[in-house]
Amino acid sequence: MKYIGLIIATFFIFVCLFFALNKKEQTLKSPLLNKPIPEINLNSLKNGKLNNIDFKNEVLLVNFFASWCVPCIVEHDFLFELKKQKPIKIYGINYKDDIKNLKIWLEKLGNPYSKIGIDETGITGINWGVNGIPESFLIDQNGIIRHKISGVIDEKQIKILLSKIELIEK
Amino acid sequence: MKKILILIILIFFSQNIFADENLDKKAREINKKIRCVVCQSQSIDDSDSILARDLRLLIKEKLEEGKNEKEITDYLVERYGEFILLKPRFNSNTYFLWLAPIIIIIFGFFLIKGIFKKN
Repeated sequence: MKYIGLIIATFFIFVCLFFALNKKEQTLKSPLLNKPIPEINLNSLKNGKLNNIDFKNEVLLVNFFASWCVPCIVEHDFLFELKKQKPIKIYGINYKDDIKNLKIWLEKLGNPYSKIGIDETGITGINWGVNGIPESFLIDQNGIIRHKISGVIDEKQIKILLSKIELIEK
Repeated sequence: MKKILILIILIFFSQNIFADENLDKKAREINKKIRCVVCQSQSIDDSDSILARDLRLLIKEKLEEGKNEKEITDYLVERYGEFILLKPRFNSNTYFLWLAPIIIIIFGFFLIKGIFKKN
């Protein structure tokens, strides 16, 4: 009976630890959410540039990818599926890649991107707070980041994206 | 005349070398405080990941541009959140983290005191 306080305190600490370590969502929210897109000024794969001017008046998706990234191959088909379900623009940002390999990759798997910016140095990735690829950002008509997906866009993520797009367009 | 010229050149280069060394030292000091977001339990100074290497380069570039430590860490926190700092700042989101050990120690002190009193 005299150790009841100690037992309660120990139990409390274990309960806290249990809930802290059992959180379903282990990825942290990006501090860039609901803020304007960071500065972007990249050479495009085809002639021209991909910069902030391209992010106006329409909802679009920005997808960081590379030909050396294995999960990006899995994601590629889902990008086509997303476009089938909702024809939105997808801008690709090719992260630290070899252009030759990128072109072969796109020829082989198809090109779901409206524009591809080349992030040769990875600085744009850091500017956008990218941890690893693939990573995607949903941008609204005013150039505000509304949603971030860390990892592969799959069936489940497409559903989430579609509901977010619907909310933005309302 | 020749000797004076050599001396001037030597002084000029040695100043540049010392400036570079100071910049490297400062960069490493900052690197040690920044978490590698890919490996998480390491600083970018210890990590070999691509992102850690890019962040090290960026920090050095920002120092060369004349940015100070606060400006550089603010830039990184704006993009990756407080999580990128190995030692989180004391603010409204982290005060519990900082104060919890003190609260637990005080609680433990009174608990033990209570137990000894009863005995």
